[in-house]
Amino acid sequence: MMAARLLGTSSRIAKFSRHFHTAKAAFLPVVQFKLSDIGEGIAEVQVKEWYVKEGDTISQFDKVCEVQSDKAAVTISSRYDGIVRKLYHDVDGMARVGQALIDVEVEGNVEEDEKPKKEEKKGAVTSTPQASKEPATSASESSASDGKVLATPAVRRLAMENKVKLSSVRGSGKEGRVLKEDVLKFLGQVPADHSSGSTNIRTTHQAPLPAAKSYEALKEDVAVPIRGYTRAMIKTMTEALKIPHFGYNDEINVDALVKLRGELKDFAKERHVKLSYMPFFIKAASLALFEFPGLNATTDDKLENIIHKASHNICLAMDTPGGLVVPNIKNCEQRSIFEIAQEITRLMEAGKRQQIGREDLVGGTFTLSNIGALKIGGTYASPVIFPPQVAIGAIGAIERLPRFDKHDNVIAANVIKVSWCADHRVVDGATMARFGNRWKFYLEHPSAMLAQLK
Amino acid sequence: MCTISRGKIGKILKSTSTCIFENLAFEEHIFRTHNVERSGEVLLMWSNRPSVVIGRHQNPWVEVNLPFAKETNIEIARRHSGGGTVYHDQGNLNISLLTTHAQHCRPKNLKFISDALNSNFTVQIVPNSRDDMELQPGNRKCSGTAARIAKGQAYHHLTLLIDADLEILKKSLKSPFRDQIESNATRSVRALAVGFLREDDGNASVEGAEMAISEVYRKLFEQSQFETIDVSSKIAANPEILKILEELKSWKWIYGKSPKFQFSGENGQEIEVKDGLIMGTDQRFSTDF
Repeated sequence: MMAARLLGTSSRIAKFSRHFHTAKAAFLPVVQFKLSDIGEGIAEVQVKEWYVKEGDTISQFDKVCEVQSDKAAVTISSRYDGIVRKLYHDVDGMARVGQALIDVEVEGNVEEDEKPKKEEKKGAVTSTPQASKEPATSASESSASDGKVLATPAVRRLAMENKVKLSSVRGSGKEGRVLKEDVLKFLGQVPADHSSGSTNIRTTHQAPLPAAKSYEALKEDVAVPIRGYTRAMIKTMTEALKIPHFGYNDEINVDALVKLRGELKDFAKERHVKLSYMPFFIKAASLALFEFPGLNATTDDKLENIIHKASHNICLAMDTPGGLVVPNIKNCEQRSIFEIAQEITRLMEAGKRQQIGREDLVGGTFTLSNIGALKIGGTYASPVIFPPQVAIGAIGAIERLPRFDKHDNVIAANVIKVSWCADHRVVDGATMARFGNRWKFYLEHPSAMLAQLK
Repeated sequence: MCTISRGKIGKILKSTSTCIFENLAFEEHIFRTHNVERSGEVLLMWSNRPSVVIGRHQNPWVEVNLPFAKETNIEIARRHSGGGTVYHDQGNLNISLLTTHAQHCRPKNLKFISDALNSNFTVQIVPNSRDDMELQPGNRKCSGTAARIAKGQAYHHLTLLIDADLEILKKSLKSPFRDQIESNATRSVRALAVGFLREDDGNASVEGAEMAISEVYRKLFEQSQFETIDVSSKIAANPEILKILEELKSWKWIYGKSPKFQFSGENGQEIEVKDGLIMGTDQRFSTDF
């Protein structure tokens, strides 16, 4: 084991699994669990009671603390599995939304747990009391639930909560280890080997953001097992590449849209609607899709039919703590811009908590990816179609650029770039271009959308 | 017209139990087990025998006239939500609205409730910035609000005084020891004036208020259901709710959950109390001398 080689004499201590953390501390990432948005514009809450203390082992969904803001008593639950390393506030202290609440040393990934167990068997001189405990606990762990099934406590908990016998689940991890996604597949929450592209979102986010970076400490290559969102992405993207993509890019002047959103700001606030630009992009796309139903379509397996879908279930690419998720908003053709905005808010809140349900992930017919919203910037992109759909659009950030007006004067204009991609087996360039133009027309002339209001 | 959909299903539940502990346990159970996203929002209503209910992080010795409550058999309970202390009896209607965290909006709820009451009775109820509801004229407080948020769900519950004995109410909420205790527990904010619906409309009744509110609530959803629940039996048959009930009734919860405080006795003694016990001992703190 590389860790052992590096540590030399203390190698034996390092071999013991997560129960013996002090030596392993250098190798396990410590994540700051930040206080997430409570809503209602609240920036600060008072910590009233802690359910954990430093050194406690914690699992995802366990209670961390009680906070209070005015009349709301809020229970904060953990997002991570691991060991609490630091509490940032005392009781009665004020915690700010978006700032660290506790530090959690996150359990290492599956590989790490296995190797120590193997090494143990060779026997160790130092810390013998630990040695005798280790095999005992791991044996009792596995026999406690299901004979010799290998699985982490978090997975066992998931199985137990859902009354699933681990021994009935086919483990896809190393040595038949049962992973979270295996349990979920078993529960039917994810279609097992469906190439519809539905993403497996409930799988473990075992690799929270800093995980990959923490391996910089080791001098050798580390094989990072592919789990969770990435695993699903691989499947989807591999399928997608079978589609011959062609791209069509354009630039939209969004001055009218910026003005419109400004005008609606107070009205939206009154209606408790968070209004970004995305609802407009989505609604304009839906209106344009009425004229080009061939783009709101899916291909069947044998490419014998293109199914023009009646509903405009528009997918949006979302960046969540666990990675890329692509839920869709159903029936955009029947929803108002405000209703679409509400759905976006709902999905984003769910995404932040990694609670997007299966219903929201299946049945998408067209996709819009708003790279601009991430403030990562970017203009043109080459988005990848989400099979079995046939088209996708990637929208860049709003830039203020000099442009010519109709009198040839240079003016400052708000401009976005859009990159459309479509399946060239069933969509031709002219169709995509016309659709793109229609979408552009709606956004540059919002009154045209108003004229079609029922 | 542009309607903002609240989703497809709304369920209205009316409890037949008049025990504050049973009702709070049932409310908490629904909060923990009913998945709003999957099964829709819930409106729960109930009334109970005379009780004083303190907020999650309050101190009963500060907020409640314990000797008076014991004499007159007024129950003392601590709820799971935040906020201040309220007195209620059978002339009070408790309303609890369960939604997702994202859809939780107390002003929105208070608006539809006050509108419903104002159109059904000759009253003028106005929600204020503290989420209380006041009868006008006179800023007479007739309703107090509290909320609980956890795991992506939230409930907003409130009291509504339709008929009340204001003398008993005021007496039970005034603790003789309130100035002798120093603590960081949430302090209730005393309303300058208190009122109840029957003061302004002699025909106001708890049943009438229930109906008015249910009717308006129904209209917010595509589908709605109304169910009367025998909460006492439901609890007796369900060990999970029973556990919540036992906890709510326990001394440890009602008194022990009080944040750390310092009590200054009449003869100058200073007693530190943590988890309801006198610091350094396992003796329960009490003001019974």
